[in-house]
Amino acid sequence: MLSIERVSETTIILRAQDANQYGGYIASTAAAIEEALGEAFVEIAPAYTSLMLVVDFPRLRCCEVIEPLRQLLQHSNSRQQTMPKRHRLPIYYGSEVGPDLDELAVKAGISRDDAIALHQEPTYRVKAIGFAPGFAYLDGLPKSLQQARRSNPRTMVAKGSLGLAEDMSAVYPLASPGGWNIIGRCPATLFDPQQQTTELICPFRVGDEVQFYAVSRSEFLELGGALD
Amino acid sequence: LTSTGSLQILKASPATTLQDIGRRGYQKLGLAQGGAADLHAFLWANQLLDNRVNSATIEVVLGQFEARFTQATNMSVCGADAQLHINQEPRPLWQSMRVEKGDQIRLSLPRRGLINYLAIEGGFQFEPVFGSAATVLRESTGPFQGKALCEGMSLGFFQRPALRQRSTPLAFQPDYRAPLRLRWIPGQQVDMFDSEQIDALCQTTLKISANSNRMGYRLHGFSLNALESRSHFESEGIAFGSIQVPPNGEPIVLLNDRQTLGGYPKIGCVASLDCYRLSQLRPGQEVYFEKANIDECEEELAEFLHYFER
Repeated sequence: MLSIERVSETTIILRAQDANQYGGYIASTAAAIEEALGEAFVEIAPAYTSLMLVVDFPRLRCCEVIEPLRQLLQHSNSRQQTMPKRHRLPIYYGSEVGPDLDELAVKAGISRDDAIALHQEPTYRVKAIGFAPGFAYLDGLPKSLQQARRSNPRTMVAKGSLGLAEDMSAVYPLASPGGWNIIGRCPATLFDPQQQTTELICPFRVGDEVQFYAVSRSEFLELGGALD
Repeated sequence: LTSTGSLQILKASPATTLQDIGRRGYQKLGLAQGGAADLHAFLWANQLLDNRVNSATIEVVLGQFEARFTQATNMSVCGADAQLHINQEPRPLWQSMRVEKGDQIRLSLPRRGLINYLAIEGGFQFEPVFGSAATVLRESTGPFQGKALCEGMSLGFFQRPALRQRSTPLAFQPDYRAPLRLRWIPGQQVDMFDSEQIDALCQTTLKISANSNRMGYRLHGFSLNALESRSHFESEGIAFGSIQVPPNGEPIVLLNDRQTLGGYPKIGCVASLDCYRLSQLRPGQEVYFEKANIDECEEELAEFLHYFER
């Protein structure tokens, strides 16, 4: 069950009480709210263990939606969680596009090929989308690859860069400043503002699963990847 | 888009942007809300021209704006006390007025307040980006590739016949110099802080930090220390007006261009109407927190917004 808090005149935050209720549970709750009460809200924004709702104010007041929300949460509690979407992302691993790969492998005390293989092992989960448009935080990085952010962030990280920081991986959907350790690059477009639907603008949703697989330099270029 | 006239920008300060009431439904993709920072002045500027509530206006920050109209229309300027001139002739703010083809307008650096809204009858024309005219410079999101307005750009509009002159009653023209009361709606992670410390915060006059902008307003003069430093506090969505307390203890009130997610504890929210006023304040100006009732704040905000609904 999620707790319900009115945090401002227009905004409600639902939070998981149980630390195990995250990802898939929040995503399926967001989908259920969208379906049953979508008209009532102008924002339905999931994080990993919480969900922020902004009511269509002043047409509606928070007090008018809290009871329907409570009932929906009671029912969706027993409901089967929706299956998470799975994304498979090609990555060209290498120092040409991943300037921090060698240092990361040295710090992890493994060869760079082992580091590359290790990074492809887990199934990652989209924990949250934020920081920048379409930027998906992926949970599940193996312990030995975990490193702090760079003490001196780069002023520009290329679009598609695969970065690691703490226990997270992420692909920079657009070029931006950034402090993550960059080990490769993904040729796929992960944020396309020209598209008309939110699904096409950004493929990720909180709770989705992501797997990475290595491609060669030439495959990366064939898939539309760009070098600097 | 076809438009018969345009406003040609001759000069603009670096943070001058096109804005409407902001983006809706894209926070789940990590896009900021954006939109007019001082919704009070924004809504009045449109209201004086009988515009739809969400018409695109120019948000001029710190004046120093000059532009020329290529066709006749009606306009209004609301907000900070910048001096408005049309063809060298001083004109009042908070009033609708006629502008003729070729007229040149100028807004000087204001003495009180930061922001002015320049509205035009029917609104400026734009290509919506994520359904909105809101410009978020940090994300490069919005019309004109999400960039600030500058010399050489022009904004289209439709020529209009003269309109009956209207003005905002004096009682609704704020004095941006006065110390600002920030009504505080307690909640969220407020329990992570000692209640005596929170009481003391409400007794303190705080000052706006120089490091304040459309993303958030930082407040100097009181440092809050969390009781427990939770090793793992999950990031969550950030409501408009949230009062976030980073490790240095100085509260930040998060506004239109705030990031969509944050993992610092929050002690609650500032009432929206007070956030609009806050966005007009300059570094060094004084604010204080006053504990508020969420139902009263909600009622007042609804009344305010209903007034402009059409």
